Amino acid sequence: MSTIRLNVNGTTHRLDIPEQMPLLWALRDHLGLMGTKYGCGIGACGACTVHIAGRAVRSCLLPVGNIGEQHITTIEGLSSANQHPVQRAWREHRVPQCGYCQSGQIMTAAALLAETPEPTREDIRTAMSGNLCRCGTYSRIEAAVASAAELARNSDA
Amino acid sequence: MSALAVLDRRQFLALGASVGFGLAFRWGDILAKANAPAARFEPNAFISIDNDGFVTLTVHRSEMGQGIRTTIAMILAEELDADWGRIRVRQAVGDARYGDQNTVGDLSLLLGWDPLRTAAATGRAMLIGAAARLWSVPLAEIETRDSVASHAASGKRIGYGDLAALAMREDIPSDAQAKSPSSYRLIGTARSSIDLDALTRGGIKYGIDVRRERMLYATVVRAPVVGGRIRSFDDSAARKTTGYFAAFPLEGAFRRLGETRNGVAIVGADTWSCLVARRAISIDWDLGSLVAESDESLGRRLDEALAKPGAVYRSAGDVDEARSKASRVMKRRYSTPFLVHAPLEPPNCTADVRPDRCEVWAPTQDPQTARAEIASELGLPIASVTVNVTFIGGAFGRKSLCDFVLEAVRISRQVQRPVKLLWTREDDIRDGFYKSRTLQELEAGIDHEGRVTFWRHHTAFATWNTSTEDPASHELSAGDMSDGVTRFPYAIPNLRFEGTHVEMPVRRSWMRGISSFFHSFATNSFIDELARETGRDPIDMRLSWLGPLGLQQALPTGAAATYWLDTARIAATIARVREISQWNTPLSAGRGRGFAVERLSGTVVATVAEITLEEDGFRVDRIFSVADCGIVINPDGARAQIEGGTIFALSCCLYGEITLKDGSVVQDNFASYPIARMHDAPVIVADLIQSDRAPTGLGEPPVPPVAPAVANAVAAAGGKRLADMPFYSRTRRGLA
Repeated sequence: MSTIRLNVNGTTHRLDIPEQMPLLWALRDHLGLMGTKYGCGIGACGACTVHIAGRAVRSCLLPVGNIGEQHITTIEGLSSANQHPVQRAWREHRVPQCGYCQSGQIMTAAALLAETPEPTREDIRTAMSGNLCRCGTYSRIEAAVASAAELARNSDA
Repeated sequence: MSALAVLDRRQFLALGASVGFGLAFRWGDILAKANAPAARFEPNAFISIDNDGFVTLTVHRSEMGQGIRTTIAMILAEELDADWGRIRVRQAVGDARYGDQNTVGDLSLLLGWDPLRTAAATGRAMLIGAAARLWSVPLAEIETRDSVASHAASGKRIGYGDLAALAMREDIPSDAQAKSPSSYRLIGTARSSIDLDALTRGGIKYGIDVRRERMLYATVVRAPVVGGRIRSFDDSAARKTTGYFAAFPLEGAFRRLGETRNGVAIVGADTWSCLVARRAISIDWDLGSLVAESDESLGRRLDEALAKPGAVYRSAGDVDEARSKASRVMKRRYSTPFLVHAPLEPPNCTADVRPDRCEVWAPTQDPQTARAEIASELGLPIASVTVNVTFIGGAFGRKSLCDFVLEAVRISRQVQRPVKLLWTREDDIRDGFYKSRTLQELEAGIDHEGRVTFWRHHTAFATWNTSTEDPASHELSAGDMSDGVTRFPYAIPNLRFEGTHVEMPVRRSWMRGISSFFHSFATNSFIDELARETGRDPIDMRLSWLGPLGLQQALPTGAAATYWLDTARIAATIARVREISQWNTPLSAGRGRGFAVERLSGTVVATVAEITLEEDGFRVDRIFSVADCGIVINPDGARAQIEGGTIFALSCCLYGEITLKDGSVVQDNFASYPIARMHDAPVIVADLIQSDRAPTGLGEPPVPPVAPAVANAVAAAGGKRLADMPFYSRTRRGLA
């Protein structure tokens, strides 16, 4: 046991938790940030996706001791008022069904667009294929990511 | 909107995640409420109107992504003429006062349509009565719209909030009339989920997100084989785990519907301490007799079952005589493996057991059964048990079984603290309630003119009923045999439908698509083979088999009027999908189209799949599905169900396979039990037939036609006949 410092959504937290604890459980059980979900625990489903220094990472496999000072962003910190272009596009296309995977989908899509502002259909399908949706919202996710790219470009302009 | 209003809207939405959810918020409403005396009009369990003008609608069915909260709210708001922008939705606890709450089998609309419409129409009649009395005008002159009653001649208007106190004094009418579909304003319009805002910001509270004061966390290591028992266990190494609290044996619970395995419960201060301690606990298992079971032993029993005649569940004419006269007889076998629900939110439950009461928070599809089982388990009166229904992160039938709720209750009782029990993904896949493995034989005779003269379908599988107390759990029920078998809609003169129950060493249960999933696969595949054999178009052949179009006699099972067979609806749905898929236009070499149709839960779905053969298999390019589900409440939600059902079916037929070795399930996570990903997803074109018949569901029905449509498309493209699922081998996309 040691004191772990985590910089989450712009706030630094000090937690007395084991260094090996995956970030997912620190976020959920110790910081009460429940938007990040458990789905498989082996990095296969993407429900636990967060951003570390802006890149999409599976929090279920990442020990808190390995993160250091890097900035962690969860779905709760993605935008101030649910207005990230990806979130707006998700509503425009009415993507979610049960919604359980959607935090992870949105975080993956946001990281994709940060790196590739004009993704091709293949870019989208490749980037998003790591995130499972058991309800089967894939066609709407694909369309929403394309819309989000457009929304982001228009708001930059 | 001012910054203050934005802030408060967010606070309100955050509150809404736990107690219900409002669509719109006006700061003034809250001030008005604070200053006005409370008055609430609550004519029944589904509706209440406060004098702030907000209409609160109670949803008694569980939300798991099918959009039932929005659907029920739309039905209630329509019949009440409530302002869709000023409603709140409250999720009901498990309570018999709401009628049936078991959210399975598309029953929400089949059972709920009339009661919900009547409940809201009753409320509207009382509001109209109150307004008529207030203004001393005839009832017939009052109009209602957007939560306002008005009188055109005098120009008077009054909001429902101001009418609430008066409406309370009206007698409750027993004959309130629901609207005719032609006057609908809300039903039939595409609506976003009432929860959409929270759904895109991680703001929905699922079962797994529940937190209580003093709460501990738990996980259970269960026997690897059904019937396994603990000889001894040693947690001395686990005790060194940070946050470790306790470990103790947990006897199998829930004998009535599907007993949990014996196991060791591990309790800790957080999830991670439970998972770490779990790896450090050693358990000496007496695995029991089922350890001798495997895929091979089960395969032998399925073969033996088909070698003998099965019990006959429906017959017409004389199949044996027709066989003796046939010029050709075709016989084919189709097999499907065990499948598991694998909802992305695994089973979990938070329980708080006190000496005199118990409260649970569970992602359950069936809160009333959970409540009754808990009361029985704890010896408490049912009124002392509260079952809060959380949002459900996918269920597909798994969470209609409340084994995981009872486990959490037992653990909380033991440690005398609130406990959140989490099933890991491995627990979920290794000890699920599986869709039965099946082997089916279909046989048909063809006369010298190419007409099919008889049809025999013998299906061997295990009944869904896995009760350890009910003797009927050793035979197929009429319900097991109805979907895709005895409800065969075609007018072939000689018919025989046989079924044989085969014992299987794992629990089974309902899963999206139910038994129609495998039966419809065999039936639609065999029709396609017969069409190819006789040189006919598979759609034309089905249409000719339907016989005279119109309402035919009720089929042998299912008494509800919606289960009457209307061949005209089937024909019209088929015609639409033939049109939108451009069925008759040629495809390039290596591509193929396949067709299938099924009628399930009173809904007809006709599907065309388009595939392209690839070097190592095939790719599904497009799926066209048309549904006739009667009145469509929310067209956008309906299309979403077709899209989702299609992907669910593709996961099952392309990849899904649970296998057994030494009595244990071999697969354990999404690496070994793959489900479809975006790169597998075809273009899906969903269409809906306009209808003014009572609405039926769309959860199950889009699923069954997908697999046979894909298999038929592969055959049409010149690929091999896919008679055994899964279609993809474990090395993606190679034909199995």
